[in-house]
Amino acid sequence: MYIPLEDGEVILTQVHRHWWFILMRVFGAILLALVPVVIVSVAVLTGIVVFTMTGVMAFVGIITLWVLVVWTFFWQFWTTYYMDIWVVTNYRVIDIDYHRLFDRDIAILRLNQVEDISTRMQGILPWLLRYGSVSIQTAGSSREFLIDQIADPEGLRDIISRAAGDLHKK
Amino acid sequence: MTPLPFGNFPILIDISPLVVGIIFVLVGIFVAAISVILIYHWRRFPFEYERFKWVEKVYLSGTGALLAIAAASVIASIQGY
Repeated sequence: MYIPLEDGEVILTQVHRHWWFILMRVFGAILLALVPVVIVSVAVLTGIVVFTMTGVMAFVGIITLWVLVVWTFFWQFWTTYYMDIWVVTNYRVIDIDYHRLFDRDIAILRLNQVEDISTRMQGILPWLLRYGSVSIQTAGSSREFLIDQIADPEGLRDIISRAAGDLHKK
Repeated sequence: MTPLPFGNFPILIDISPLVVGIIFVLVGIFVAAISVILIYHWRRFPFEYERFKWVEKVYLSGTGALLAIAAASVIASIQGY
């Protein structure tokens, strides 16, 4: 485990990017898998091409391999989507940013540094699907901690705000 | 077959089983490499381990099924010759 939890540290919530972004990838993958099937089916049905019996079997094999390649790429996208995660504990906010495989960025923000938390939902789609960004202003630094494209940003803001408040009381 | 102004149709397509076999091997190597990388990342991820075990099963089942269909098609096309 590359981010060990500290003594007494408890995970409060784990947040991923909104499901809309992976749904788009799913549609893209299905379209990509179907394109050669549709093109060849149209060509066969309109009589432009005719397959021999062995040609049909070979074509089924090639199409299946094409679907396999699309399937593999989809899981690669899914991995970078799903491993892009924000973990809120009672001490810290951990931002694990997966740009692509073998390209990871981890930022840790201590809750006792939190000064101000704001949320933003900009656009019709974010309003309809309830996703947006949470930005956290930290003490003693001009750096802004930004969590983007997450579901229910206001819920996350409340969790972080409550956890930071509990920590300040201790 | 009646020659058309823009070419002779229909075009008879016969794919060599050797070509399909070579594509099968290349794609198999590619998928095996990507699978190792993906599973390596999933197993090292520190959060939600139970969910990744489930994902691994779905991924391997799908990949296995597609590889089996492709292999069966390649074998059938070779036997057809």
